[in-house]
Amino acid sequence: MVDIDFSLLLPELILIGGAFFIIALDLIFRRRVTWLLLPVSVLIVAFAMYVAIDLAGTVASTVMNTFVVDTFSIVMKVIIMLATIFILMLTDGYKPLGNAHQGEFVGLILLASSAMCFMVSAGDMVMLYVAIEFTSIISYILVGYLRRNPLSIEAGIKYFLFGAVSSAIMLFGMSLLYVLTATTNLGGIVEGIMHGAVNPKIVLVSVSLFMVGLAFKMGAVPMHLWVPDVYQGAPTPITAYISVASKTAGVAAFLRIAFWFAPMLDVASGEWVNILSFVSMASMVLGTVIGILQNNLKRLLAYSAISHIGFIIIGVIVGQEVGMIAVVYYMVAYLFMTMGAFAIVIMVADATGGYELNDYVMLSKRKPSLALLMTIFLISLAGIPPTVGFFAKFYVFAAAIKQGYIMLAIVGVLASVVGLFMYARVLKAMYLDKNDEIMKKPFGAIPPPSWAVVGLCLLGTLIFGVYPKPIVEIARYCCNLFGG
Amino acid sequence: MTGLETEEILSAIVFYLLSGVVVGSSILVITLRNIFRSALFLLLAFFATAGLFITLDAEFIAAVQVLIYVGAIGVLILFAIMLTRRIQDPVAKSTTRSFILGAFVSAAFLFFLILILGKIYLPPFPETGADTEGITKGIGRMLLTYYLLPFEVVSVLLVGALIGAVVIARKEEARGGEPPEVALERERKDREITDSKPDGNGLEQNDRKH
Amino acid sequence: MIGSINILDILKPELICAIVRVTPTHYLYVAGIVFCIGLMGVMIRRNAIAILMSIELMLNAVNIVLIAGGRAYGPKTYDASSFVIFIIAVAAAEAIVGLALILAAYRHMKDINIDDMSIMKW
Repeated sequence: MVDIDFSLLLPELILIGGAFFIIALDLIFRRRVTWLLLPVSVLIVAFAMYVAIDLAGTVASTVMNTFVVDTFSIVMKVIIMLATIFILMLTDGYKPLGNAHQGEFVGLILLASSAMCFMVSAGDMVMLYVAIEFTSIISYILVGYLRRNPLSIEAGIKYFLFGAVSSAIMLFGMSLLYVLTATTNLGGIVEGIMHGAVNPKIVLVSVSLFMVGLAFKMGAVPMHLWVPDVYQGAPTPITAYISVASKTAGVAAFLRIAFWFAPMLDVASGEWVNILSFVSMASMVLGTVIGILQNNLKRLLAYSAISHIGFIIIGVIVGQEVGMIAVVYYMVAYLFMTMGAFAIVIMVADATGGYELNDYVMLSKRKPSLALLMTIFLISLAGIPPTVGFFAKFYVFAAAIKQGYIMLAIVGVLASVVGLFMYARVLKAMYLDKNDEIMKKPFGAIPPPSWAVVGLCLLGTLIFGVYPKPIVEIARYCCNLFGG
Repeated sequence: MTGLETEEILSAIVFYLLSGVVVGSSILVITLRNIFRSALFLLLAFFATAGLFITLDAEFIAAVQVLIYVGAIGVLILFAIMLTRRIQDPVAKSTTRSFILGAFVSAAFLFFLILILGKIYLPPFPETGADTEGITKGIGRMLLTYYLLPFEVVSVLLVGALIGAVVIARKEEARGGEPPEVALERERKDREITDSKPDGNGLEQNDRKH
Repeated sequence: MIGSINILDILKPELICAIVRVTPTHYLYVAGIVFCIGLMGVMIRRNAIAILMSIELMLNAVNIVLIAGGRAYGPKTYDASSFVIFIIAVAAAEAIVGLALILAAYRHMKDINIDDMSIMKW
């Protein structure tokens, strides 16, 4: 018999149960309860989040070590669930979805969140594979959800094909690791490799192939091709969801595996660090340079996301406590600033009907408050001082310099400087460009839940931008209570 | 060590025959212009792989392979091909998306992979007791003990995929008496003429098989 | 060895032995070849369904690796077989969703060729 500690699994179980509850509610009562679905689902996620926070401080694993709960996983799950709550609130104001099939839409989002939580906590290759595929498959559906919109369907198909290929490559890496060690448990693999006399090159190749799947989830450079198209084509709340939640889950799994595998990769340490450094630098440079050329806000944020993943990977390369603190802080910062920026993109698109830079011209005149908020989020994304984005980059660079990865820090600083231009283009459109035509267009009303999301993101961006200590303390706590 | 037992030679012949079929039909899958034939060769490759599994004493997996890959996925793919058959223009080029680059990259990767795979040391196949029933029982026990959590997660995944596939592939909204969604107007502009051909019901029916 | 026969002692017998005596490595080679064929298919085919079929080939190769590896560690190792069952189940779910998307694309765009999907640039 298996000992199952249900209390550790409770957040995920609540999310799954909630998903089916929502779908059933929609199926039974149809249109009479459509208004109820979003509030109920927000409550469900909030409850799951409360249960998850309640677990903080435990380091345990259950179901034969396939599921690991530690403070790091709890923090990552909280970020994922916060992102879920935010996008559920944003969905309320997202018109293209209409009222059609909102039950399924919300239910699938909850399922995806539970899958991401499983991904964060996976302690076994099979569990990790299943969780990654679960996340991906639900994401393909959500991306292609506006099935009458060719953009959405096209994005769905591209996401699907990319995801399927990268998961096949990842599986090949996993199968090689299994062949080398005769176990699928991540801890067991490390032990097997350490005790057996395995050629370090084979280990390096297998782990690299394995990491391809996670690089896909994170949108890091060799697997980044899907990012711009999917961000542009997907329904905007889903874009925000993929950008924040899915990426957080990918980073969490990546960090866990990189930390666990560190001893067995030590043999091939130089090359492993080189591979990661290449991925990191390529992501930062490519994201910022191509981002400058974009005229579509969603694509611009996509390239911005690619460059951010480069910074996050620096933290993983550095490793140890400093690296982990940097990564956790970066993920928290990323949640607030990216979610805020996407919330405003949704508001502007619903009010004016477009995602192009031209739709933002004279926003400072038409809706000064939105322009100001957007400015704050963009400043944070660029990493300028009074915001949370500054400290995120600061901790990453400080960690890199402290551990002697000077080259990475230099490339990172240069990429942030170039990145300024990318964000400055939006500011220029909002404040400097003139277009009298656009002033005549009416600016639609903005639903209150969206304001709430923007307000929360603004608070997060500014408070932690001035007073970063709480997050750093939590991150340190994560590191001390890291399972494995 | 030059002596080879007859049994070994026989198993070698079976192995080479099956793997020849797998490799050959895989090549045909990716090169044949007619996609329907590619799909049939895909089924053949799956069958031959099931044969390879039998030579590895994995009868249960071989059966699962035939049932799910050949029976469900293969048929699903054939259905999809026939539902979208109007574009299967035999004259249209099917394989010229950067053929040279693709061939080069995968050949390089193959070379690299062969080098790596050759270095992996695996013990030679140990003797079996030919106790297939026990093996199936062992897999079942494994699925419900060590792999219990992934097993449950996969079941949720299948339900989620089913719901999602139905939502996406269903023909059109039920129209009766629904309030028009104002916001959909904007999208309708981009939308092209809807097809009136037989719809994708085959897909949903096939989903049930899993 | 009872009943053993010697083949072509003149040619390198070790080589012939290595070829004829099937070891797990042989299966790994076959899997590697099939994997690369699938990878090539992904890169050269234009039709989305054909790309999906190539991906299925790649997964098939992974299954061969796992079963051969599991068998090499003895008939009583069930990890590999269980893993393969998971892969098959997930591949089925993936195929369902992928084909649903492809059908939806066909209905609205009349086209499932990846090269022609260029409303957005790649």
